[in-house]
Parts: sequence; C-alpha cells; structure tokens
Amino acid sequence: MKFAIKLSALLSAIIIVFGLIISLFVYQSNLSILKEIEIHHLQDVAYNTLNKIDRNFFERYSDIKGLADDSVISSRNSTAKEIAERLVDFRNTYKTYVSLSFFDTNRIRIADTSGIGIGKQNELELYFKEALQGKISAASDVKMSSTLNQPIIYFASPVKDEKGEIFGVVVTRVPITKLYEITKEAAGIHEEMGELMVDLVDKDGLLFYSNHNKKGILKDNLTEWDSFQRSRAGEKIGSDVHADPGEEEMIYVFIREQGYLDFKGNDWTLIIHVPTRVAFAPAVELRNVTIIILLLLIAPALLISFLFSKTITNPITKLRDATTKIGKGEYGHRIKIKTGDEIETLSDAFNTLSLNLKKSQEELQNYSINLEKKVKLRTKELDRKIKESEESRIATLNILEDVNETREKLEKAYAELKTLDVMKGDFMNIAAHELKTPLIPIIGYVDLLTKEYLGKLNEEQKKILGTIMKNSIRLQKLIQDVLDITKLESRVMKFEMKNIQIKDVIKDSVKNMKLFAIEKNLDLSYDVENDLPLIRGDKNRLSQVFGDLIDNAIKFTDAGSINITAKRNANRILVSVKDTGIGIDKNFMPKIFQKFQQADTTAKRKYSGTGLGLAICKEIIEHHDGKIWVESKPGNGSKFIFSLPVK
Amino acid sequence: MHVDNEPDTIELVKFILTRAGFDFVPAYSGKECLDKLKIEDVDLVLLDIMMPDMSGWDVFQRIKNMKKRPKVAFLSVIDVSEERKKVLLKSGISDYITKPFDNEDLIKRVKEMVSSK
Repeated sequence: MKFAIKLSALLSAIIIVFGLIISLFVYQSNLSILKEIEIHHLQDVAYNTLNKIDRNFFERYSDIKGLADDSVISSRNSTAKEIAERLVDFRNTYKTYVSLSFFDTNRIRIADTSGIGIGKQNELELYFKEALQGKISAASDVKMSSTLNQPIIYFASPVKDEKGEIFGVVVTRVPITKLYEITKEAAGIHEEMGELMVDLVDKDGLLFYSNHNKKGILKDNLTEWDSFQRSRAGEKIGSDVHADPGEEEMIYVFIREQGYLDFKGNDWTLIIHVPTRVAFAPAVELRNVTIIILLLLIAPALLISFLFSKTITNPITKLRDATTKIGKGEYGHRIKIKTGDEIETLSDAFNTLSLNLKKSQEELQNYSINLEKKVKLRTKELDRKIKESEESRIATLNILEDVNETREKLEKAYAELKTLDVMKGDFMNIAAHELKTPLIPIIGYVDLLTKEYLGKLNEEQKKILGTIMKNSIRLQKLIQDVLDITKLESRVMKFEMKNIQIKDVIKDSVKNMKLFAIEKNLDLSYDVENDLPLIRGDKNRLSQVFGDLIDNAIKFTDAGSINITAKRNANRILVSVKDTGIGIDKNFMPKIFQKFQQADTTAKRKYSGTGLGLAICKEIIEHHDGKIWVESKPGNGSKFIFSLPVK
Repeated sequence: MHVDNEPDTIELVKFILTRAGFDFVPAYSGKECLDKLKIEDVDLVLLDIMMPDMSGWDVFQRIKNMKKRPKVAFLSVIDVSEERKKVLLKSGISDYITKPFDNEDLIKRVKEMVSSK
C-alpha cells in the first residue's frame, strides 16, 4: 500500500512539475513574442496616425495652394473687400479653418475672415518668412491661440501675380483638434482604456499634443526622451523598452513625420508608449489560466497514478503474502499473476521455488524419520557401551586405587626400612647389640640345661643353674634399663603417643604380673573409675611403668595386697600403686627416683634390682607431661602416684 | 636357615630347632646366605639385622626378588616399635623376634611360620 502511495505521489509530482516547467517556458517565450507583436502593432498605429495627420495637412497644403492661385486673391487689382469676401467664401466652403488672412509684403494685414487686426503688422514669423521666400510653409511651431485658447498651426503661402511676383501672403490658421481626432481614432481601444499614450513633439522637442499630459502641451519639452533623441538622430521609426526609475516598464514607439506627396511635413515626432504589462496582459492571463488548470489537475493526476501504481503493487503484495506463507512453513503455495511482465516471470519462479520447497520438505521429513530411527538404535547401543565402559572404568579406578595404596605403603615401608638400616649405625643400637649378644647363648643354654634337654640334673646342679639364670636375667635387665635410661635422657627413645584408655594398660599390666604376685601370695587388683577420659600416651612405655611399679611393690611387700587405682582430678588422671609393704625410709625418699638408688644396700642383697627402674619411670611419666611421687611411711606400705594430663 | 655372624648364637638356635625337628642351615653372612639359598631349598630364613658386611635389610631385599622365595623373619637384638613391626610385616617379613628370646617362644613362632602359607 505504501509503495502505491509513494509511486502515485511521485508520478503526480513529476507530471505537475513538468506541466509547470512547460507552462513557464511557454509563458516566457510568449512574453517576448508579445512584446514584439506589441511593438509592431504600435509602430503600425504610429505610422497610420502620422500618415493620416500628414494627409490631412496635405489637404490643407493643397487648399492653401489653391487659395493662393485663386483669381481674386492672385490679382493685384482686387480690393481688400473683395479679398475678404473671397476668404470668407473659402472658409465657409472648407470649414476647417479658424481664420484666414491676407497680408501684403510689408506684413500688413489687408484682409481677414474675422475682420480684426486689419492694418496691423504681422510678426515676422518663420512661416511668413518662408512664404515671402516663395515657399508654402506650415508653421512648424504650434502656437497657442489667445482667442481660441487652443494650439493652432499656421499655413502660409505666397501670392504671385501674373508675372510671378510675390505681392502678398495668405495665412490660414488650423486648429489642432483635428489632430486630436485623428490620433484618437488611431489609438483605438487603448485610447479608450487610457493606456496608450500618444505624444507629438516638434523638431525642438516641444510637446504640442498629448492625450495623457494635457497640462504639458506647449510647455513640456521631451528632448530628454530616448525616443526623441533617436528620432532626431535619424531613425525614422523605432522602438525602445525601458522603465524609468520608480516607474513600470514601458514600450516606446517613435516615428518621424514623413510628409505626404508635396507636403513635406513639419518634422514632427510622434511617440506612442504603453506599459509592458498591458502588452503582456494576454500572456499573463494565459499563464494564470494554465496554473489554475494544473492545480485542478493535481487531484485527478494523483488518482490516476495511484490506480496505476496499484497495478504494480498488487502483484508485489501477492508475492509478499505468498512469501510470508512460505516463511510460516506453508510450502507449495502458488500465486496467480498475469500481468504479462517481469513480475509475472518472478511469480512463476516463485511458484517453482515453492513447489521445490514442498518437495524438499517432504524429503527432509522422510529422511529425518529414518535418521531418528537410526539414532534411537545407535543411542541404545551407545548407552549399553557406556554402561560397560563405565563399569570397567570403575573397576580400573578401584584397581588403581589399590595399586596406589599399595605403592604408598610400600614407599612408606621402604622409608621405614631405610631408617632401620640407618639404625644399624646408631650407637645405641650397636651398644645394645654388643651388650645383649653375649647374653643370648648364656640365657639360651642355661634355659636348655635347666629344662633338662641335655640330661638329667641333680639338685645342686639345678640350684647352680638357677643362680646363673637369675644373674643372667638380672644382667639382661640391667643392660636394658641402662639402654632405656640412656635413650630417655638423650631423647633418642621414640614414644608412640596415641589416645589410650589407662584402664586397658592397667588391666594388661596386672594380667602380666598376676603370677608373680600369686607366687608371693599377694593380692593384686585394680580399681579404675568409670568413664575416664582418654589420655595421650605410649602404651608400651606406660606398661613398662606399671610393670616396674608393680614389680617393686611385689618385691617390697611380704604379705598383703597391691592395689592400683585410677581416677580423674580436674584435667588430670591420678594413678596410684599402693602396697602393704615395708615402706620407705625417710632419708631415702628424696633419692628414690635417682639413678642407681636402691632401698636396700645391705650385704644381704635380698632385693635385687638395677636401681634404674624408678628413674626410668620418672623419665617416662615426665615425657608424658605427668608427675610421679611417692607417699610412704616405714612399716606402713608405700603409695606411688603419678598424674597424666587428660587428652 | 639362620643367618647371624655370631657363631655361639647360631649354635644355640641350631640346638633348639633341630631338637624341635627342623632342618637347619647356617649362614654366617649375608653373602653366604644368598649363595646357599641358590642351592638349598629353604622354607624359612631367620635373619639377624646387625651384621658387618650386609645388613639383614639388604639380604631381605635380595631375597624378595627371588623366585621361590622363602619366608623371612628377623631375629634381632634391636627393639622396634609396634608400628615398625606392622610396616615390616606388610613389606613381606613374616615375624620379628627379639633377642634374647625365650626358647619355647622361638620354637612356637617358627612352627607357625613354616606351617602357614
């Protein structure tokens, strides 16, 4: 729709613009033509007018010539009265003359039709002068008649007698009104409209007739006018178009008096001028009419071009709609356009395309259905494969994990082994090795002998072997204690600190030492508070402590019981090993935890021991961030207490 | 097989184990042990750790790479922590026995190792 509007607007605009251009062009040419026509017309008018004037004057000329030849006038014998009568007759006959006069050669008026001025001398006017010279003259000067109050022209002719001698001058006076009539007639319609302006000037430029400037008659001088100047310059007939400052443009036509037959004329110039606008009036009218017609044509032009553009846009709209349909998916849509032009070709191509699209669409659908089926199949297969691979992947991952774990452990073990290897060079280990090694065969063989693997033994032999064994074990223990205390003091010993329940340690220790206690008929028991918090400690080392304390208790108690308790005290656990033994001497108490201090240093050596046990216990407990002390009175048993921090 | 550089210790162990019914092969160095292992068919190797030329660890490493490798147990004065023991067991050691040992205990443990797979 928009396209139709655009198109129609464009067409209309084109038509109108062209119309305007053409009419403008025509108008412009018309103007020049009209100007020319007008000039020619005016020139014709001017020529005709002047011709008529001259013809008229020719008659006057002929008249006065006839008058001069009149028998009465041309006779010297005629009386003044006879001449006067003759003049009156003449005037009555011709009726154009204002008055006629007869002068003698001295310029004395002899006779006159009006009867006045007889005997007065005439002024020596040019016309009189020329007449005396034998020339029939028309006064080239137009004069204002005082009696008639209008300009008049003088015609004078010499009167000759039979011999041909001039003895008088006859003068006629012609009013200028005749001139007016002629001019008026020539001017025609324009004169009536008051637009055709006619001016007559004499050879000096004096305006003696004007149909528009009545006041200027015999007063204004038109020597300034181009037309006058050109006429005086010699142009017999010409035209000029100009506008005076502040005035509208005028067409001027001028013509110089040619005379008629014998009448030579007075050398006057007739100037006719008319406003150009008047000349152009027809063209202007035509132009205005054209414009109105064009304006009237706009509406029909729009309508026609609109209808025309519709014929173009209708097929295009059809194409657009069809294309939209295809765009929406309606393939196979066809359009019917029979415009017989390229649009029809386009629509045919479109129909072909549409059909092809439909075909392709169907093919595509079929293909996609097939594809879907194939995809479904493959997807199933793929899913299955994925599942399989996933399973194997998980399996692989598990294997990898295991391998990694094993590898890590192996690495760790190897590192451990390496350190163990280093341990070989460690002094402590070397010392331990060297110290312990001799004891191996000693203890080993003694044990074999004691167990009668090498033969039966008598009592004495058994006793001796017992002593050897006891001392070997004592030595072994001593070596171990020395090694321990050395390691503890040199901070070489490694503690495996773990979160442990003290109850477990006590339980195990009691179990281990039970037999020894039973041997001496002692009661060994423990009392552990419920829900004791965990402590951080090395189970082995703590067992060693318990073992040592219980061992001491057994050693120094002859009868009674040994009881172990453990209870919580704020953020610590208090453990006590109480016995009903012999107690500890007051003097010995401060030294009890020192190295190589034994309670009994008598020769009896009843109590064997290394003297290092408690020192080792102290080191171990203190390593656990704990404290160990003893409460005892001789004869009242001993109570060894240590505290350990709660985890 | 018992590997130890101390002859007296070897004698003791030999006495104990032969009485207990085991076949006994002595080796007084790591090198001797490995050489003998090439020809002897051994079920268990008791390894001392602290030996002058080759430590028990080194011998163990070599034994590990053998085809038909025998079980290996350490028999050493060196006291090791429980943690270490666990590591050793995981790395292929069948047991760790400290010296001096209890004779019965030794026999018991050797029996266990030899009979188990």
